[in-house]
Amino acid sequence: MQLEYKALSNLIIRGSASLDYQDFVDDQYQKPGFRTDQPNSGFAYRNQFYSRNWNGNLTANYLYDLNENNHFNFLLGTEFQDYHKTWTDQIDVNEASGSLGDDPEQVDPGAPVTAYVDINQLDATLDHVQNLLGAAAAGEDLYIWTWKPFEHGPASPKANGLGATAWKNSNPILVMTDEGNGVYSYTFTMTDFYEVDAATCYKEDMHFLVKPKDGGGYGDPDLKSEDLVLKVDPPATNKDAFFPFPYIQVGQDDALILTYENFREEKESMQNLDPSECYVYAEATLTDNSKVIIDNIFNVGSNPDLMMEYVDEGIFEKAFVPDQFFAVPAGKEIDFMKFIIIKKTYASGADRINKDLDVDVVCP
Amino acid sequence: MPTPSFENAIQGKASGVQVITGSGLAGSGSVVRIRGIASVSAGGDPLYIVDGIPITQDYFGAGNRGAMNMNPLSTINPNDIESVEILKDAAATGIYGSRGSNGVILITTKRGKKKGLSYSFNTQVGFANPTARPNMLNATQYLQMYEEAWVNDGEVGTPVLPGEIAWDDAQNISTDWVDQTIGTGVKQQYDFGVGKGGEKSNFYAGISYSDNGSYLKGNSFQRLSGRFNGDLQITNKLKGSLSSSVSRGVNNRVNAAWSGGLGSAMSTALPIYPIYYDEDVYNDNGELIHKKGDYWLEARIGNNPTAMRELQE
Repeated sequence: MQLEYKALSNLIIRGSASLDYQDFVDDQYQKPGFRTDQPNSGFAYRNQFYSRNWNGNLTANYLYDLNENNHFNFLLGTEFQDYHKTWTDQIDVNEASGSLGDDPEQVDPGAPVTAYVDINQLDATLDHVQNLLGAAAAGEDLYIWTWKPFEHGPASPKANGLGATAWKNSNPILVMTDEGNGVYSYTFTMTDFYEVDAATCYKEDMHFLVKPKDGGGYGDPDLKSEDLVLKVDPPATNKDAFFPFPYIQVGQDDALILTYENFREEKESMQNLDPSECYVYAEATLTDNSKVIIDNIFNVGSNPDLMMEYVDEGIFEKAFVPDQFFAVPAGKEIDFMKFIIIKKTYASGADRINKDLDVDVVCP
Repeated sequence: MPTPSFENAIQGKASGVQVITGSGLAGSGSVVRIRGIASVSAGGDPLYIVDGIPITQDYFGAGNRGAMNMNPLSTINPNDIESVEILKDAAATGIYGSRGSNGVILITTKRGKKKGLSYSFNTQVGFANPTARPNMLNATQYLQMYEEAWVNDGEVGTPVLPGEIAWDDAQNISTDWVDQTIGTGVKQQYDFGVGKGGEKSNFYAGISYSDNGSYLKGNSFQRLSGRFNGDLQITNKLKGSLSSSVSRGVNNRVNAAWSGGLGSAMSTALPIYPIYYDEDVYNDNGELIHKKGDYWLEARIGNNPTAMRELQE
């Protein structure tokens, strides 16, 4: 925005102000199968920052015409610019392990977790962060300093610092592991370390910062990160998109309902199935280890008995009684059943869901 | 040719100004040098001024991710630009102080000029392909070279291949990972603008959509932007001006380097590595561990660029 005032015929005063706001979000989703060590889990990461660039200037411009061929142009002005870049607090935590971050895979307070901190992503415009980066570059060890969900007192062996000048003498048990490239980690079990229950961890989250052994203070410049927060949420119920009812156990002469919520399907090639495109591969293993397969996987799409019924937007169901459905011979019993949702035309692994549904059958 | 970022558009149009297309990836920035390269370590980017205001130009604001940076200049629609003036000499850049030491690029956006309403619509379509593709060994050639190296190393017997692939199996596989990584990118851009000029007021409003696909499969940059500029002569001596724009860019990134990108396709992803399992695989206990059609990841996912691209968004 700019205002221009012509005070005299040759004198122009201009004032302008502007805001340049940018919001960058970097989302990354790794589908199940991406990680061979956890093939059934997907991982989501978000890196985000926003920047504000304020500008203002005020100028006075005087044009002095000496004669037809000679002119003077006098310009007097002042300018202000202020650039801020802000990361969200979750970004300070590197989620390389998949266990921490703004989309945590349910941090279990009762199990060992590893907190990763990438000091390159700290706000380097802060003096105390610059001092911390300098100490790390000089090869000093970094320590975790934490006060929530519980801060141990100075007499505790788990105190953040030792002695009268605790901030200058971090507790050796809190030293972090240098993972290289500015990434430091600390592995611990929250409930053991803080000596609180899981509910307190869920309520308070984990608040901490990172510092060298000597964090300055007491008249010296501080060396520390900004305060970091690791959100700890209770585990969510993650029901698969393909699930049975009853959920716990089924008898072979009980009604069984298979439900497939295609609208929650994460495998791209299986998303948005047409009402006539969803079929189920069904296999029963009997107690004598023999198998009953209604149709092999390539013929499933041409067997109307194996078609999933379209019941609502993106939802398919199939209800049956297992021993009738599999035509179990008299005197034999089903031990367990396996179902796989596939497309009508099955050509490759892309035409099936990633996870089989196994249903155990209880003895009558 | 539609360009997602305006600095690409000045390539070859300003004498003495070097504009080097960075990587050809969608939305990526170019290297612009007005006064040559004066420093090995310091940045040499010029100062960009849009309608009198220095803009944010922090390429690595969010770090370098998968060999791709974020280019803030790509948020400016090239079709909103009325003129670009490049200041090279020290005298001209003096008022910008040290910020202008690498030169200054003054960008003036469009404003209403003609009396009465004027409309403009502009659309462009183009394609992106690499000018040269590396010629890679096929599996037969690779196995021949590998066998020679095996013998030259003094080894005997059937060569042991990386990725625990059996020699006989490797004869039946030939994956061209460069083909798997490179495709033809489609670029399209649509702009609509309306402006009106007058003695006491004028305005220009524009809206634009562009979709730039690069030569890497899965890599594209979409931008939807709008601009409104206006001037109002409030009194005989006082004039107010407003320049505003809103832009949303979506950059679909893919790995571009050696961790599962084109770099891997040209080096560590071997032609004897398959893309998918071609049959079900069971372990010693008879348990199914890989289904036919699953991605083959025995040599780490970074050596299967197709899996890296498809399993990651």
